[in-house]
Amino acid sequence: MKKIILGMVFVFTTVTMVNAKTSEEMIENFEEIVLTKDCAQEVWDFGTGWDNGDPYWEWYWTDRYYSWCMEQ
Amino acid sequence: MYGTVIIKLNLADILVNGIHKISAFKLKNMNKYILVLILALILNFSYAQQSEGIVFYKKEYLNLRSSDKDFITKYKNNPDFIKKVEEIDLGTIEMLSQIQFELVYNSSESIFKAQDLLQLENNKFSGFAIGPEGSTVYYINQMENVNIQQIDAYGEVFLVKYPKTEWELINETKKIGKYTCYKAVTRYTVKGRKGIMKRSVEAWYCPEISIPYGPLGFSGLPGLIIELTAHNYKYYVSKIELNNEKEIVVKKPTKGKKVSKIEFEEIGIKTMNEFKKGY
Repeated sequence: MKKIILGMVFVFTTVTMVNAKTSEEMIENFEEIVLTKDCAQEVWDFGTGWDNGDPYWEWYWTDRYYSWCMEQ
Repeated sequence: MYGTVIIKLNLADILVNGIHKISAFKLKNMNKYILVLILALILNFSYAQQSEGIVFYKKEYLNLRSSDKDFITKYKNNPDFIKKVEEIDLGTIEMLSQIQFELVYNSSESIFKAQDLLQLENNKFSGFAIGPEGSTVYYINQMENVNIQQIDAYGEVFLVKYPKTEWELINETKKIGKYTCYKAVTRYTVKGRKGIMKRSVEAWYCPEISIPYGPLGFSGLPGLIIELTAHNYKYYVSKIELNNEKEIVVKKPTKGKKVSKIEFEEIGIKTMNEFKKGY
């Protein structure tokens, strides 16, 4: 009986550890996806780093780059 | 009945006297009067021809981000970003060859906007090619001193009231096509996140074409603006259609929230500051 209980605990622990590792991998992959898609810094640089300081122009270029970046 | 006869007699008298007076003119004087009359007719005809029509403009960028040394130096550690900007610039140049802007005008009003925007919306580079200034609708009414821009920004449409353009006429000419053009400069200020900035626009107008309008709402010069340069772009005339057979209708934009130039700039500053906080 003790052996059966010990065996079940071992299996449960192993499965939990494997699941935890898979989740970590998933989270890492998810972060990669988010970072790839997150164009915020480039959007800001593209929108504000070139034109004449007019806030409408800055917003326009920011908006265009964001749309384009999301399509990539 | 009696009154009518009197009038008829008076008219006959005037006619007879008139003929006598005319016969008293020398041939030389007659020629002068005829010449003046013909010139007046030509001027009137020419004004009628130029008082309404459509002028087409093309746009070109004078500098591109991806070829700017400062840009390349700043982002040398982010080659992926430089590559993306290069792709945008190439797509923009290609797209600009298909984009045309039109200035529709009559004796008192004009409207300037990009042509067939809906048709271009499917192309991912059209927004980059048209640019912020090109996606605005510019309305001018010289008689009522109205200068309005219809701008689709920050998720809503605005009707922004701008002041009249004050020009400085420069004693400089250049030939553009067959026209002798004269230089004019205007200066304006923009309030942005970094404070108030001074900007200038250079226009080349042609007094031979007596149309006091131009691209991007710039107007009030003694001739059509053939070429306009500001910041890193240039607008230039590609075609002029005077006195069209169809009636020219200049439709004043009415849709949008009415704001002043300052109010519109403040909304922009607030939006951009919020965006900066958010990312």
